[in-house]
Amino acid sequence: MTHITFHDRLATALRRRLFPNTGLQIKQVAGAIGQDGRNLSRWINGESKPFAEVIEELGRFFASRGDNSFIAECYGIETTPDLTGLRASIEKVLGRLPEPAPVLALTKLWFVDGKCVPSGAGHDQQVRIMMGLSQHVGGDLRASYCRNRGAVALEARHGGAVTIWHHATGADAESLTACRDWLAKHSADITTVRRLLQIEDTEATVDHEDAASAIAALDRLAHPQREATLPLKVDRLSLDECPAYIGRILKVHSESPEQVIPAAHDLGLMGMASILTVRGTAVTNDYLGPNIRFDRSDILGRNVLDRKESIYGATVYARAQEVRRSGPILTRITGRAYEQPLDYLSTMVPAGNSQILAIPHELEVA
Amino acid sequence: MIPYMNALDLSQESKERKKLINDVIVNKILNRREGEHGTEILVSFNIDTVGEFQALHPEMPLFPPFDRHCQPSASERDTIVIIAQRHGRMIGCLGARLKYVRRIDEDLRSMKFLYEDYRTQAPYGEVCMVPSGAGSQIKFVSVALGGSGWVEGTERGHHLYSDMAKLLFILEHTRPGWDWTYQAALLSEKNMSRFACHPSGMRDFVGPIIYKLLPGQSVDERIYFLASRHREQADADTIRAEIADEETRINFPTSDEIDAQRARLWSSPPRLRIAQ
Repeated sequence: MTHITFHDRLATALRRRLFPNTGLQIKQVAGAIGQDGRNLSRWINGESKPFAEVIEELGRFFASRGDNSFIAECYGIETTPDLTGLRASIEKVLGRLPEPAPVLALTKLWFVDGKCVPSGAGHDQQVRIMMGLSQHVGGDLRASYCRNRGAVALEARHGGAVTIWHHATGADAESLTACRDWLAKHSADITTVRRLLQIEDTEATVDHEDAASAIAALDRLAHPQREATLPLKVDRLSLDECPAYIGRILKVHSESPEQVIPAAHDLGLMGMASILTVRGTAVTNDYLGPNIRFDRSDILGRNVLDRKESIYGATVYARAQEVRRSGPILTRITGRAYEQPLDYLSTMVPAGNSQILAIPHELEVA
Repeated sequence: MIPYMNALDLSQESKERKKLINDVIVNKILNRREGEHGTEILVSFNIDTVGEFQALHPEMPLFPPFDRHCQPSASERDTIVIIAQRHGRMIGCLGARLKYVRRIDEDLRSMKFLYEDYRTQAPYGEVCMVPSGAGSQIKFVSVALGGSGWVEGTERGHHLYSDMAKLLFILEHTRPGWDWTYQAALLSEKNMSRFACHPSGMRDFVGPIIYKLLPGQSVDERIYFLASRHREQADADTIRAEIADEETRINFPTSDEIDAQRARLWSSPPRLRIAQ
């Protein structure tokens, strides 16, 4: 085994740091430590050795250039590289660069009991994992878990489009809040939010142009106004129980649905009526009679499932879908909404062009 | 027909009940059925499904409340049918109907309970005899009626019927719109251990119902029993974690219990009223 002396290590350490291995010339180093260049050449070639204080000078010189390992190399001490200076330099350079635009990665999550559960394998598969459910069990497990556990599912795509699934009225407040918090945390990266709400046997769509709007909607659902939590009851009644003037509207509908709204106008019913428009799975309220004493800002032009009175909006949506399926319906609505007690009959009639005319009438007590 | 998980709707239940029913009871029963035995549990809200099942299994008696010919107005709002299916073959069926009765004893006597239009739907000469007091406490209410249950002979003995009944009860208790006060079952001597109410229902077990008695038939051969219980009792018995236990019996009352009840009731001559 070859014995490596101090002189060997000194010569190697100097060579590594000088031309042609680096751009540093012998004259530069010699000048910096007050030595003659020929002396350095002799040390490199092993012809002579420097005094200890000169080695110290060399160590200080290299350290000033960010190289702290010269002395350790000369004495054969193994050191881990000190990257403090390098890190500081990199951070300094990075600090001058503009902030990179954050990009929302493809993300699938469940919010259950207020906790966020990553669902990389998909929402259905994660339900199987959380429930310990057999692979044989079929069905729409995402819809089932939203409906039967009050959970909220979320999918974010590259580019910032977020889709959220939850039950229109049965979503758990803790889960809604957890989802809302996630939206708030990533709001800068979110471009659009689409909520797909389960209501009865249908799936309704509510589109939000930004995260803030979706956050507000989830807030309303998670913390409904006290009055709105009072139970709303909707009972389907026979159309035979409609008053005579509604009967005339129903007759017009059976002959020409497009004439329903003009007929209601002729009968002077539009002051209390409203018009709903069904666009795909979204239902918006496009007309509200001036005599209806509800908060107009919460109703006009808005998706009925995006109202502050979310539960009342859900009942409107469900009735509108029923009208689409089976034609005119008469219902009795009791409960409380818009800070007032409700007890009225409502006839909803298809009016052509995806429109539905809703005519509330006073409850006639026998 | 749709998978059971698609039919289950707990949206109106409390958070605690959602956890218990979804995560514990349904989870365990479906895993047992669909995981270990490969039996799919499907749900239909169409009474015709019972007819289709009966057409495949003619040996199954078709109970009038589940027969389309006797119930022309039956709709998805008042009908739930559980079907067990293996490799595409229907092997088990169990139904529930939501019926509104004025008085169950009177509706049985008039047979409105069994046939929407007695005069045209019931076999000629059929009468229904109800002893005084039987079911008289059930009046002006909606009743959840179970029946038309049948499982292929080769599939019996593996708790399939019991599991189907538990899953059906859960739909009865949780499905929006299924508001009822009494759960009732009509048990024939031939079908007494297939589907019934819990022993708590025996408290309301007032007496034997004899119905569908055609001219020439013996009363003793045509005995049916009305078992009933309040919704609260049925709910407390159905919505509990133990119901998912394979050993938990739901086929009450058993033959022995029926015999004991019969012995008590028939120890003195019954007083029967024959429907006019």
